[in-house]
Amino acid sequence: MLQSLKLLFDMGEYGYFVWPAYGVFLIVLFGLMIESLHSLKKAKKDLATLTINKKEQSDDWVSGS
Amino acid sequence: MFNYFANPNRFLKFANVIQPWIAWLTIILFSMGLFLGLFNSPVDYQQGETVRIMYVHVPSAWMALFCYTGLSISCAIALIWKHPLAELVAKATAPIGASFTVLALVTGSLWGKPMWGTWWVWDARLTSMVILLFLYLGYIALNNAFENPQRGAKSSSILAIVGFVNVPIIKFSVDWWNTLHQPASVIKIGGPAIHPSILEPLLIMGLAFTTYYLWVLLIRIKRLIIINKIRALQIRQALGEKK
Amino acid sequence: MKKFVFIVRRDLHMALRQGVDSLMIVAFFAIAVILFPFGIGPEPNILARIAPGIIWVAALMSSMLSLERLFQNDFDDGSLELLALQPVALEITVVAKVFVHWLTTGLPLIIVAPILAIMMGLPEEGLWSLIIALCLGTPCLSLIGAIGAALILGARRGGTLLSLLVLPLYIPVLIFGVSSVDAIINEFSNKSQFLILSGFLLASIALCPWACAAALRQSLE
Repeated sequence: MLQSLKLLFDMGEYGYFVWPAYGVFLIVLFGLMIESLHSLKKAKKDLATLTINKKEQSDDWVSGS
Repeated sequence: MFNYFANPNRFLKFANVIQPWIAWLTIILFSMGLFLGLFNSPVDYQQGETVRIMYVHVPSAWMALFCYTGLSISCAIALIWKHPLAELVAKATAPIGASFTVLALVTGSLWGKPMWGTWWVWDARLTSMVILLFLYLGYIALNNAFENPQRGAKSSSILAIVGFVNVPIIKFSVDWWNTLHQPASVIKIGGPAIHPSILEPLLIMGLAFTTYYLWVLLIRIKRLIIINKIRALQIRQALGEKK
Repeated sequence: MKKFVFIVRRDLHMALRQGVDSLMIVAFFAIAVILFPFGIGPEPNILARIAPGIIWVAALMSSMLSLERLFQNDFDDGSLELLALQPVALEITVVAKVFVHWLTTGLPLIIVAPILAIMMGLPEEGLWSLIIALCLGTPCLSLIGAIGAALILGARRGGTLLSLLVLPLYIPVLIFGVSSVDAIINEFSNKSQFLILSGFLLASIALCPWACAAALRQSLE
């Protein structure tokens, strides 16, 4: 296995294509995941602020609605 | 079970339960696949180390097509049975599928340069992938082109089904076009035969991509459900203020 | 049948009142083709080689220009709702409107295409094939385009969006349309291309009105 490891890092010219390919793979997969998690967090925050506002509004009315 | 998940809150509960499992499964599968692919599989005598690109290129291409199929089926379910979750699955799948298509194209190009000498070759597979990308982009654009999100969802659902029906026609036409213009050599991806030691990491990567897709899908559907809730609240607030 | 004729006559009247529209599309078609010698150089060999492709691509683009308005006017003034509520199937209305679209867009293109082809130096053997292929292909373009036109009713930036939606679906017609001309020029038989184009046409006539009507109904909800 150590030999394959050595071969892996010594790809010669092919390395210029294989590593960018895996790089793009990681960028796309991580990027998509991060973007999805980030937008989910933002949406949760927006929902929270909206429900807090609604609670504050209904607290103002004596009769409550 | 079908109708059970029509309730978004029930689905949210379900999603929260299975998400960690899918997440771990994804990580394990990717680790296995990448290990076997990068360290433990042979080098093709013709293509050298570039054959390792196959382990990301081929599963991406599979997923690009698989996602579009899933997209169209969800859209059909949304139109015929009006199942609210189906609409969300479709809308969430589109950007994931488009990303896979872009990944397939870029890795395909990086594979092609050392193999065929140019960054881009108009071979049938890559060309079909480009058209598929436009089908995805069209769906996403149409979905977002209306003030009323319901209208956007229904309109783009019809588009997805029309596109899906066209996929075999497009594939047939592009294959035909390609054999007409292609000079003698036909590139066969993977070499003359797929050795089991290459097939194994490939299949594991395929599974890994699939669980990754499910993971991101759950996250995006959760977001869409929350956004629907926000919209509903905003509408109720606006109506309430009018009083 | 009477309904069909009625809608055809009504739409034709409206189209002919604005006869300029057809002329504009033909003018766009012509200038789009003529741009290529400026871009590529006037060398006759090259132009002749790419002539079928250029003419077909320009025809696709020109065909799309008038699609946006196919249903828009009726949608805006409410007559689309009335048409949808008729006892006669909406599909028939769609076929009638598409037919008028073809008469005012496709047919003029077919008439002008040979002139442009000669200007691009297309060998004479290819001219008839070009005409027949366009006759088979342009109705398909109108039919498929109608689905797109129905889907974008009420959308923002409908025109640009329409191109994005419809052009990928046009590609099979484009491929076989060009190939039927190329084949004849290179002294191969183009029967199979014509058969395939005819197949596309029949399939479009059968399926597109149905999909288009579904999209229209959905836009009226």
